[in-house]
Amino acid sequence: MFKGSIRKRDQILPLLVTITLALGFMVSMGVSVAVAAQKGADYPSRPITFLSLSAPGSGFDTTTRAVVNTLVKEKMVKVPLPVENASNSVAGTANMVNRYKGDPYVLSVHSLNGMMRYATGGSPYSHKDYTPLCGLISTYYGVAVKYDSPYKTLADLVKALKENPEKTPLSGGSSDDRPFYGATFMKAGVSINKINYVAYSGGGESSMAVLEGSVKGVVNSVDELLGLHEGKKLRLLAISSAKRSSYPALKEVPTLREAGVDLEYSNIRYAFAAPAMPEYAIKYWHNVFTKMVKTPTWQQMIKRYQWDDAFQIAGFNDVLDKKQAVVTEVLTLLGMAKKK
Amino acid sequence: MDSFVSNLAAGFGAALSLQNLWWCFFGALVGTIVGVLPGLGSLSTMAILLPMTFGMDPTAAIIMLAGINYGSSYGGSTTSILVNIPGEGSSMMTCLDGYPMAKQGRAKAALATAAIGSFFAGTFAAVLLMFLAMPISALGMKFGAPEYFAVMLLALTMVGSLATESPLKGLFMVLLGLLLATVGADTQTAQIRFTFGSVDLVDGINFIVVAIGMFGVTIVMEESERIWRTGFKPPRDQIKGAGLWISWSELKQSFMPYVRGSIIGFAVGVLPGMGGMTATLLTYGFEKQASKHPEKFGKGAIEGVAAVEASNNAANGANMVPLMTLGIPGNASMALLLGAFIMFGLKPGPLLMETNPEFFWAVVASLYIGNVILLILNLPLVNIFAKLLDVPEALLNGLVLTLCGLGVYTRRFSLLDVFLMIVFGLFGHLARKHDYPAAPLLLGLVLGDMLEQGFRRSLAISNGDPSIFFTRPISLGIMVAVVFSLVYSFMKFYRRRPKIQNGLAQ
Repeated sequence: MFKGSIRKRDQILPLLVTITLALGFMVSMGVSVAVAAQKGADYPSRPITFLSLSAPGSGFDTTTRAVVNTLVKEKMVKVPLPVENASNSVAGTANMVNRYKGDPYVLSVHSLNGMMRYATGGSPYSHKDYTPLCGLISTYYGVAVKYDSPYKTLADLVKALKENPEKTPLSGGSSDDRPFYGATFMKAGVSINKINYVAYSGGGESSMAVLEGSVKGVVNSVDELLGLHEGKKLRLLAISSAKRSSYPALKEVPTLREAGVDLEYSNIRYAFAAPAMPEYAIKYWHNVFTKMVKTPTWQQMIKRYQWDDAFQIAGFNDVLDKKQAVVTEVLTLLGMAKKK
Repeated sequence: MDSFVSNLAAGFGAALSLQNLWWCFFGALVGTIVGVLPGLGSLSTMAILLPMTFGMDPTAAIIMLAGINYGSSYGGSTTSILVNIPGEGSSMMTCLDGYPMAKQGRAKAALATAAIGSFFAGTFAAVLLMFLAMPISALGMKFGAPEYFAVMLLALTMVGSLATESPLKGLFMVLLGLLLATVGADTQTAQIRFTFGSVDLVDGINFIVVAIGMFGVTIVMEESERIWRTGFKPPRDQIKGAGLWISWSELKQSFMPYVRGSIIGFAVGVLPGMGGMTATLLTYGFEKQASKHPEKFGKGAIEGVAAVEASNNAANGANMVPLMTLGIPGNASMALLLGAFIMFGLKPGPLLMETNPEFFWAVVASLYIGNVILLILNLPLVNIFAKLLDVPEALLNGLVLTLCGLGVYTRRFSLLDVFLMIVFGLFGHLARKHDYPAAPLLLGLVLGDMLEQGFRRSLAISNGDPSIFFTRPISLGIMVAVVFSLVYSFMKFYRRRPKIQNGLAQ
């Protein structure tokens, strides 16, 4: 194909062009220059980086990109908003606290995961070490069993867990689902340290383990269980929200309270910035987020992902304090918390 | 059956519309490019391009995103063969025979067999997905933690086939790999292990960082050392450009490996979380044991490249099975695709085929068309990519090192990763000089976590009773295969041993 009179240099050219273009693409994606912060009035005057706390496709990433996509589509911020993926939430949070301290040009989204990491000693930083901006969305948890399982209600499952804890292993999408699992079954009066909890690396794998049959029940976010519940492969026994969902397939599923466990539990995802964020920048973002959550794009986004609106600015720090206290308490009882 | 045919016809109709063909082509092209570039995987590319699809027709969007996914596994083989850098984890095994082939002046044959094998396996996967998605997914549901552990153990026994000279050196490297795999947060308890306070290590030592170090950087060092010793003259007897196009006899040699690679790749790919790496490893080990001339493996056996590339692509197609039938993503790329499904208002899950049949069939059809497009796209590219070998070696080394560094850094912007890449590059160079093979270390690193988690999950399920591995039929069956594989490699070793000792005596 490339024989004859064409010289070698011409043959290499297309390849080099391809590589150069691709390299340029990679570099421009990655580099976000952090210059010292200026005072106030013209904020924001350069691109604002959104730090996604985990890999593309993860829950963190989905939420962070949902926020950025809404802001871009609704033209709410006049500067570009590049997204950068941190290697993991612990590293991302550490960067935010140390490297970006006082820098108003980096924002991110955190969740209950950070509280879990803090309680177990995986991360030295809690929400007190950075600047929480506002609550964005919450997701609820569900307890499910295989569709043809003998356990038809949460009470059936709790009974089995009390009578035969060793023979009734439960699974979760990751170790992050443990605080919910612990809180639920503790409230139900089960001695949770006798239960064999099996952590999988993802909601899909943990559901597979229940379908396969060796694991008897699964705890996970409702959205990860919903498809299999609708398809009559899994049966949701209870969900952790305060009242029943209006979604058709979930109307019949009781809340934890209705199922006899006095608990309401949600995972919250919230926007945060570096510590010592200047007051003008906090004000700016409070204003932007207040407007953003009302836009049709955002409303459509949370509807599609079946998230619940959890927008809150006033008193939001108290909410985080309370959540951290619950997570630490449960993990201490499970023997997983690090003594401080 | 009527509805089956009409559904498929409608699916092809949808996929063959000019607009969808264009998106399929676009996805395949972008996928090929990011596959060629080390580090920049299909996953981040899909995440970056996802917002672009919001205004698009859902079928077109999914066809494009899936195209990126298939395309990257086509492209991944290119750098493995030409410059010994595995672009993605699943193309590491391609390096083992692909790079020696390129050194012998058979680069075009290697690239061509990789592209044809990918096409064969991709089509094979599309057919199975179409006819047997449901029964296969039911079979996949029989695999619990004990079976996963058993498969990992089986894969580990293949280390014998990776260590070319001394099994002891292979064993040493695999144990080192297993040790490295323990770094990072533990999945069961979230406890952080062996990170020495570094937050960048919480996720563990990444496989691709070590692979690029021990393959790419090591080769650059070796070439540089040779140039330093002998001057800039390339060894003309070794490299005569890219060589000839694949010959008929090479194609015939590749055919059975395509078939075996496709079957093993598909079987492993159906299981969520297993990944292309396990599939390619099992395929390579099996292929070497089935071969009449196993001694040629690792020294440029075309069967090695053919089987591994087929396996990789079949596993990729098979990943679609749990996603389409149950709504369960098998890996992070599939999770992203699932996110796209949800954005477009489709309900993935057991009901997808009932509620949106046209969509399922369009994706199946796009698998066929995507593979045809990729073959048409990649065969001419073989000629262009192979020109890379005409670049003067001193320049090529610099280019390769730049690619390695950029690939590792842009993955997650961690300088520690670049540092680790260099450290493993130096270590790899030292290891190579003393005939310690790199592949077993990477094998241990990849399988270590799954092996440990499979073991601990199994014991948690059985409340600490190890008989769980031998009382379940599938697990028992695989365990028997493990024993056979071990006995077989030991027998082979001891049969060879007198010869080795004789050789030493002489």
